[in-house]
Amino acid sequence: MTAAEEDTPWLRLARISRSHKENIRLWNGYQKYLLGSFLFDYHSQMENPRFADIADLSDAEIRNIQTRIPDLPIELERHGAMF
Amino acid sequence: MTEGLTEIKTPLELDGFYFAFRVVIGNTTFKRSFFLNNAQFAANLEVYNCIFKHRLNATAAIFGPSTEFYECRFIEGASFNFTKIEWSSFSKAIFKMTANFHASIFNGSNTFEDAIFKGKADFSNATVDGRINFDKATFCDGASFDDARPDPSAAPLSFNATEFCKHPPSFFGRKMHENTDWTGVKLPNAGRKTAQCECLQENDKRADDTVQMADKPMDPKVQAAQSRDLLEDDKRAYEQLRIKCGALGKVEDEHMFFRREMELTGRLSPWYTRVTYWLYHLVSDYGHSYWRPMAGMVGVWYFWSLFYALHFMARDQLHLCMDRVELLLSAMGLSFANIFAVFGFYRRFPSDLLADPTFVTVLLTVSETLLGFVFLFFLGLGLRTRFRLR
Repeated sequence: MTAAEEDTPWLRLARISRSHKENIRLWNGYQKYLLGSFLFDYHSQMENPRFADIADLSDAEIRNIQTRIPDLPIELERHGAMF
Repeated sequence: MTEGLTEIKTPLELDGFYFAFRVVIGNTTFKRSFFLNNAQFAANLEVYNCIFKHRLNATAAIFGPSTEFYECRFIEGASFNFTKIEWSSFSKAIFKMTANFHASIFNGSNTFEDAIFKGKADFSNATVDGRINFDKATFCDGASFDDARPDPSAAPLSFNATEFCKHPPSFFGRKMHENTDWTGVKLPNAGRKTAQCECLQENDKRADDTVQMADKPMDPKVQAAQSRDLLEDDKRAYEQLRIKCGALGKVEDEHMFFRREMELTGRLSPWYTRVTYWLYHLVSDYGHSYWRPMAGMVGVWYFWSLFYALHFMARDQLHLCMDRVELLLSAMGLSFANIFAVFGFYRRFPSDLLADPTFVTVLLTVSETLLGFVFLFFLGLGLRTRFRLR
């Protein structure tokens, strides 16, 4: 990974682990965590079985992610862009 | 992800990722493969001015309410097989290799306006519940809209001013929707032998990473056989399009595909039959033009008038007592009556010129009458086709 890519928090989250399955779990879990602030969107996306099936991350896992990637957003605007 | 970045040099594997928020990627070059297989976008995806130097694989991805790949370049091919797309825009995108949209589901309004497909475009088995707009798009290679499913669906597509450089679109098994727009579509010219189409060089001005598509040297016999096979495939594609447009009562479109089919039939025929197709095209544009037979009749009238005038001026034994202008007018009248011999003008206005016909006079009048009849027939055919006279 180039230095510029290393500086990009979302790319680092996408590759946080060597296991792709673990990356999917952490990424999706973090998405669910971020969406939790928006109740309406959260509940409407919960109707999507794919979203509903995403396992919640524990507080420790979220803290671990945020510690390892300090510049990763801890909250997003409702209609804000992720990347 | 790509904020402030101009290029990403490592492969990006986002298979199975869930994107709960709007995703915006702009002005980025992906130097390695980008995988989005089975990914899901709950909100909009906006990708603009990006270059995908390696493959973009988004097989079975589910896109959100709006997906945009504006002015993106897909150098190594893009796979969107089995994807679900609500509303999308691939405007001004350039697909350098195959663009795969096999079995994708397009639910809303989708546009590929001004897009360039340099490789094959595969939209086979795609379900189009909304509409796909290919206005001003360019297909430099084959475009497949085939449907091999047991219950094929009709796809509302728009090909307004779309250019197909090498092969016609393939619609085998696909139902044609009533609202398919073929206005101003440019179809490949059967006479063009080279694989490289003109649009390719022209449109390459937009792309920096030009991949030359020049054909490798090949055994001429093998090349000829392949070329013949391709022409036969194209002919069958036109035949399908003609049948489908005919079934919908789209007379103009049906005849447009008929003309292309005839052009290819002529090219695939032996030389002696090819001449008849060529003449059919020349005289009436395969029964579509009424100007060509009219021009032909005017030409015959002009030249035969001249022949008669010269012929009768050379013969002084008739003692016609006519000056040159009178003789020319009389020859023009004779020529006109001969062209329209079926109307019997020569009986109502008998000409002194034919009082003592020689072999040459007979030859001239007979040839003119026959040509006049042929042009008159094609004039009627052209009028019938153009004005839908039944």
